[in-house]
Amino acid sequence: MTSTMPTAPAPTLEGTPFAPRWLAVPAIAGAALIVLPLIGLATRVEWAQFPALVTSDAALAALALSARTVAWSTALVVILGVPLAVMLARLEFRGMDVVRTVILAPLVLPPVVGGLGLLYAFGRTGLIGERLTLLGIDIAFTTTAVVLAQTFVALPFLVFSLEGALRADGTRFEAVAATLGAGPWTTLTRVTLRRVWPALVAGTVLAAARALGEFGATLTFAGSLQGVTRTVPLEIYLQREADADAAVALSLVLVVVALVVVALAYGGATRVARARVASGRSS
Amino acid sequence: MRLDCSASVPERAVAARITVESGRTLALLGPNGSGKSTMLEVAAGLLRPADAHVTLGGADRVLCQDATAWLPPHRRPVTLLTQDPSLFAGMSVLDNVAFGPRAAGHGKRASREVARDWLDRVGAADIANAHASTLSGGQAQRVALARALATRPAVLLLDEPFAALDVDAAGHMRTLLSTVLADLTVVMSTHDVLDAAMLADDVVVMHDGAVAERGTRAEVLGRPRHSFTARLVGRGLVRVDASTWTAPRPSQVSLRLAADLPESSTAEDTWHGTVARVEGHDDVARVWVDTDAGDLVADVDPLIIDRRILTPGAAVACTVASDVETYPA
Repeated sequence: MTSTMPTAPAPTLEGTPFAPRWLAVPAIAGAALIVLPLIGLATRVEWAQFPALVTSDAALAALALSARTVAWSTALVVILGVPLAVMLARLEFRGMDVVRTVILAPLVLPPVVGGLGLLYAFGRTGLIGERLTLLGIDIAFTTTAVVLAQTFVALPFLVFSLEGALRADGTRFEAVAATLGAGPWTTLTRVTLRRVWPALVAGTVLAAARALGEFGATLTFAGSLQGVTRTVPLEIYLQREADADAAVALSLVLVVVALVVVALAYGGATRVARARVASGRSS
Repeated sequence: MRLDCSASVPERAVAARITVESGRTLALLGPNGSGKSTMLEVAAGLLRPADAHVTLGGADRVLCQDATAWLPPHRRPVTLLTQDPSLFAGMSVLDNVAFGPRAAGHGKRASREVARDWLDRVGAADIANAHASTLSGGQAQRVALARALATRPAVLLLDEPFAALDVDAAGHMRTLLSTVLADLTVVMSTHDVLDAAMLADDVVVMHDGAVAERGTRAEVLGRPRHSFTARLVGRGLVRVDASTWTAPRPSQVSLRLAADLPESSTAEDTWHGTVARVEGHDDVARVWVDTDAGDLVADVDPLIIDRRILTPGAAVACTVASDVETYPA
């Protein structure tokens, strides 16, 4: 069955589109809404000064901080998000829907609200923060706070991408692995996660991108101290009036990073998924 | 190793007990939905009904499940092969087969050594380095068999191992199994009498979630005592008297219209009945007849038979050849 299945997508007959032609009008308008601002940004870049603008002390400090904090928060997202997604997808427990809804919240909450919440949980007078302060640990307005804020807003992206993939994949292969003698940990790492790898990669990349762009929660919970909590988005916001050219230059850096990362990861994930659909029906 | 598995699964309307002795192959014969797969899932530990009892072995037995005990599937020395090979994508064929030994804690090199050996035995050594997703259905099922055997299971469970294969591949697989299953303890579910006839030592017939009958292959398939079993093996089944059955083959029964029967004929080997249904089998018409003593089935040549006989509801007289065996109920 697999040997005769064409690997290329089935050709569609020209002149017989499967969607109404007029859909093109709102579709193009939608694409323009997203593309035009990016073009607008590019037209404002002072190309001559660009290298100097993105290597100023403030810009370099912000870029270095963003790189560091995004690396940490992405790692945290994976370490915490994978178990969370597996729990939600594989265990049946009372109140699971409630848990899922609450975990979804950061996706729809204004980030500034999340920042306030973080402050009242981990801040000096917060729920846990008070006890942490007694132990000599201060989180608010430190680099740790930046990482927490980024993790808070980015976690749901991974959890929901992965949970959906786990549910769609089902438990058939896990059952096979179990009867072959594989314990739960071996099954999870060698079978389950390998099967949902594209979703794990896509979810991680989305989460990293979201962490990189985090602004509201960071500003509220971590403040804006150069080299400590002032990430690239905060630096852009600060420079926007003082030095618009610097803000635009940094913005362009973020745009390029975002496009490259999404293209690589999403392209890769889609290719893997397509290859699996094309060749893996029987497996 | 001996397997004793009894379970009651009300959600699936299944309540049955199956046992297989060490070194023997048991065929679990029945149509889809008769509870075969449910019993295998209980034995493998993939299904955990409240009321089940699963043990392996005799004196030094391994208790898998009872009212309090529960051994998870990966700790049971039992491996299940389903009709879907379910090879792991993203791994070579060799690593698929090495998966069991690896999971058992053997090193990568030693596991691959074992895997290569099993691939050789199932005749798939040449595709060891192929990607699992590139195989044909028949190849994949061979590899899945090697993967199951490489775990050295005390009991091998096969759930409809040929159901997803085309006729050629199923034939090859059947031949292969007849050689590799020789010394193993095996439970194989199937809806095909041929599988049971070719591969099994013992047969359990399942019908509507319960065991209809059980015994050695020759006893169950050759001397059916349940109308359902007789239908599966394509034979009629009638009571000759209170304590004797006979199960003639379709070729051993001849039909004629009841109206054509000479009035004087009251021979013992003639049963009166009505035609229940007519099936096409190659170039013959297979006619199933309901009689007071049970069902009879006859193959007739549609080119020369009186067409009225091929009509459901027709009153017919069935004559059974005199050399057909009768056996105690």
